[in-house]
Amino acid sequence: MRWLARRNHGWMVLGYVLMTVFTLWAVIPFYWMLMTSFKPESHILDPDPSILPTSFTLANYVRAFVTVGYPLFLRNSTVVAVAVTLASIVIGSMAAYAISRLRFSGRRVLARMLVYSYLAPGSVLFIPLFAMMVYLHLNNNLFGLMLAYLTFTVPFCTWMLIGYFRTVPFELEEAALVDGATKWTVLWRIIVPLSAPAMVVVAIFSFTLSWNEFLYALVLVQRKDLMTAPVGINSFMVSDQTFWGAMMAASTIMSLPPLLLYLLGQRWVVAGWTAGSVKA
Amino acid sequence: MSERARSTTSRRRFLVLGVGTAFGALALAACGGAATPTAAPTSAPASAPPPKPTTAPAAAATTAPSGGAATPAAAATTAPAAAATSAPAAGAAPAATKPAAGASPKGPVTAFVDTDYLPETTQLMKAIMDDYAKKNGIEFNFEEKSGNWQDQLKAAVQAGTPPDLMRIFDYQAQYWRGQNQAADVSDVVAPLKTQQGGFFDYVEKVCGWQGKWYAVPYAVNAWPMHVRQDLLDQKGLKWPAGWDEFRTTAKQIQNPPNLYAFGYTLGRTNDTNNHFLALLWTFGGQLQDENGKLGVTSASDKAWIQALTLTKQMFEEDKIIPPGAVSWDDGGNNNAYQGGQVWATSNPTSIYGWLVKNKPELAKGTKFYPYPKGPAGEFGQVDVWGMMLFKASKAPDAAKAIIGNFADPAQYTKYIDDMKGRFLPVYKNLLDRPLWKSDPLFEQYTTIAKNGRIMAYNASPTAPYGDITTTFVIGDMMQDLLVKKQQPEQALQTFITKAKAIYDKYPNL
Repeated sequence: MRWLARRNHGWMVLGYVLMTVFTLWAVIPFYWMLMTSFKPESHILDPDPSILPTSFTLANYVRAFVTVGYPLFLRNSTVVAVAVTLASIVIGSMAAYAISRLRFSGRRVLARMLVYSYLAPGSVLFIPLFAMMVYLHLNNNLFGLMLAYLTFTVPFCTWMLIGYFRTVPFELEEAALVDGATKWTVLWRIIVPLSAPAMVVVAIFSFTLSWNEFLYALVLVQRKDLMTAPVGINSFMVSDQTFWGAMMAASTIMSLPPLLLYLLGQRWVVAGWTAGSVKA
Repeated sequence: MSERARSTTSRRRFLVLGVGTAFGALALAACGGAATPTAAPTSAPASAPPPKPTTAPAAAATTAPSGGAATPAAAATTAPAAAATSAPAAGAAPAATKPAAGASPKGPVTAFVDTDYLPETTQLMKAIMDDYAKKNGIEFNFEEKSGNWQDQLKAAVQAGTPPDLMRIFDYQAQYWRGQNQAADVSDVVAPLKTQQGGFFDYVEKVCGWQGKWYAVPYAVNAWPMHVRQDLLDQKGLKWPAGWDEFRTTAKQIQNPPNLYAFGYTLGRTNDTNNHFLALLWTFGGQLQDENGKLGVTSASDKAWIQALTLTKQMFEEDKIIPPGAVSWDDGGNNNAYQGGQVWATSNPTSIYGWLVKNKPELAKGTKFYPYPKGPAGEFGQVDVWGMMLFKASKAPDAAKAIIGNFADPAQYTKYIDDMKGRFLPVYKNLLDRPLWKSDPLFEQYTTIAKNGRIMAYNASPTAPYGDITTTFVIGDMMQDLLVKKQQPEQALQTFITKAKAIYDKYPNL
């Protein structure tokens, strides 16, 4: 008790308790998903569900992967998410550089418009967007879906990168320009490498958003062979029956890529999120 | 950077180029949409063999439930083989449904059909339609839809690119008719409706309007009461004939919180409409009168008050309904019954189909019954499924030919036989087929087709009916009654006010 009474120790214990509670709050749904994915369908609806598994089966994974063809949905999601991520970084970097470094009329308005466009809810835009895609013959096409995703990833990436680019000392850019570098070279050889943490953040953001997106993928792509993973999960609901086991198996697999990405990019994420929060 | 360094390719650049090229190729391949559709995505989640029109559904492999009564699927296994093979082969197009030569393009025709919980149901339908389209040179895409795909449909309709054909049920044909999207298919239905004793009366109410047809009917989806016969047998009890007996039996059967008696859905969801209206009919009430007007105008309506009072008593006094039922979604009663947490619930046979595959012991202990009798009698509940044609179709004749062929008794009889009880037929005389006489339980089940009512009874599922059921005004009334603990009269008054406002929006229905 004396230890507790010492300065800060009480707060430290409280902190750990709260952290434990919040961690459990975040982890238990994932644990439940994982456990359910290994339970036989007949045990999932047991009146007395158990925290620990009482039986184990891979049947749900077999159903998801073999019967429903979930790997194809994962492939489609991977193609879309990686392409959108790369395009968002490239377009976002160029746009952010132009807005943060170049002087042209309408620059501030353009910057604000980026935020406003990001705020428009997808549920309002999906029907006009679908009509446009049909007109351009880009519905039922993964390229069309990528273009749709870029409408919300590029504004965010640009906005995020504007803040970070502003923290890069202007003197470095001036020195390069004096040495004969072009603006293009400055952007890709100096600004972008120095903004690695922000790049990682926007990459993770773009990937996660594209990977998890449901509404546009549902509406713009109607062919089953072009279906993405989140829409594929939706297909485990048939009539008033939900195939919980297979759905949880598919959800477990689907949650792995973003999880791995966060784990790998963790080092840069914290730095990236706080980037631009203080003036250089 | 030295000249040498600039001219040679670094490892990093090589890797970047390699990965970029590989991904670019992958992306191009994927974006082109040329990926061969594998068989897998077209399958429903449930593990099932590929469609074989003459093969019985997986569900049929089980044995009959205890008590000597087989469920539809199980009983179907005893149906004479001759019955299933007497119909002509699928794809033999009757003359009446041949596509009109040169009238409109022969496709492509696209059909959106909800995946059924018994995958064979949609797979066999696809096989028959595909076969016919192939033999008649029609380019045909049968797309199975599952989960929430209504946003997809709304967007497609607004963009003017809906599917040519779509499976409809309940209010949907009337809804799309009201939206001026459904094409008149009276010419397809005309040669069909006089065959095999004609359609059941409620079929026209769902698919027709003022003498015209806006969908071609093909299935009666019945809602039998799924009951744990094994629990009744253990206690030496019988299925109660009336509501008073039902309450007594329920209290004897249940053992809360592990087992409640009645899986009565009371949330803001579709099943609440079904469950409440089926109970209401037994007291003589109805949602709509024969002119399609609101069927209740006074908060002291005897039948409605009795139905609401009974609901309140079962929930609050008897406590025979799970407390969580007030927040159930459409899967709530399925999950409860399948989890062994309720003794009885009303539902299409999807519950039974699941049990056969996942809990055969529970399936054996299950038996189908009608709702208990009330002062006005005993009624089955049905909804009718059909195929509608969108006006925007660019190949209407080819589309009509496909659905006309499918619904023609020449094909259809075999389809219904092969479904082994999943659906009841839309043609009256098809209930005389050997399939339905092969087991005593089918008498109970087929009774639902004969004395069945659609939810919109006693009229067509009009626009205001569709509005009321999809905005869950009945669910709201249940919330007022059971969550806000209002008296039946008070909850009913609120319901009437809301319902009248909805009906007033649609003076022409």
